[in-house]
Amino acid sequence: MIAAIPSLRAFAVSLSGNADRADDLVQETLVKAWSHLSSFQAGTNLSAWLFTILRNVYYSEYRKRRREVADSDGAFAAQLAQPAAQNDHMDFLDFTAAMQKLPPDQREAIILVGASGLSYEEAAAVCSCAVGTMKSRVNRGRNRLAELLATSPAAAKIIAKAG
Amino acid sequence: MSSMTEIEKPKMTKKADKESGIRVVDNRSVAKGQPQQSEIQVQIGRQLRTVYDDVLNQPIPDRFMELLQKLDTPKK
Repeated sequence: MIAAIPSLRAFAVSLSGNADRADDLVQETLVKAWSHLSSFQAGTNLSAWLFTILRNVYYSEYRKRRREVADSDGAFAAQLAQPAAQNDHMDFLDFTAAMQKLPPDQREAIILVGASGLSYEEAAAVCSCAVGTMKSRVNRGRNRLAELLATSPAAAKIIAKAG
Repeated sequence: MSSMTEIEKPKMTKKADKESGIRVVDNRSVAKGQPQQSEIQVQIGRQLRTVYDDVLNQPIPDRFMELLQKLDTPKK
């Protein structure tokens, strides 16, 4: 289970957009996973199983916190080291803010498939949805992100260059 | 799993199975014929992995090692 912690944290941070909250999510996930170890099928993907638990924890909290203001001021993004090589392409703060504006089902879809490296089938299993639904969420999420980012000055530059 | 929160199953839509031209598994190959879109999609894929990998490569915080140790200790 130790080996799965880094990817669990990465998923939690990407999903919640908040590093402190992410670690609380991971903590709760580990406790829950431990008490439900018997329901884990040996030989299957442990990370995927833990992702499933983490998103359940996240969504039960998400419902409670729905009225709270999202971290749109870039406080989270500022905690992360800004990758120097990316500066000329897309504003890092814009990106993390845009991620948090996505509907959660689309956000988790593009994280699982685009960053965690899960197959559509694995991602669909984590989210207990059909594979086709997962593909659709990934595509809608990416298109929506592109729309959101197209309004930022950095992205406008890219479009001007590409056009 | 009974104590865990159940998430509502999403509704299936007919168009959900329709493949879009954009490949997402490999973010380096994107839709042809949409130069503006694809450049942004490449950037999105890159940013997505940057955030993820940044956390992935961090050392595991002590609190989790301590937690697992605690969980591993049989209750008396």
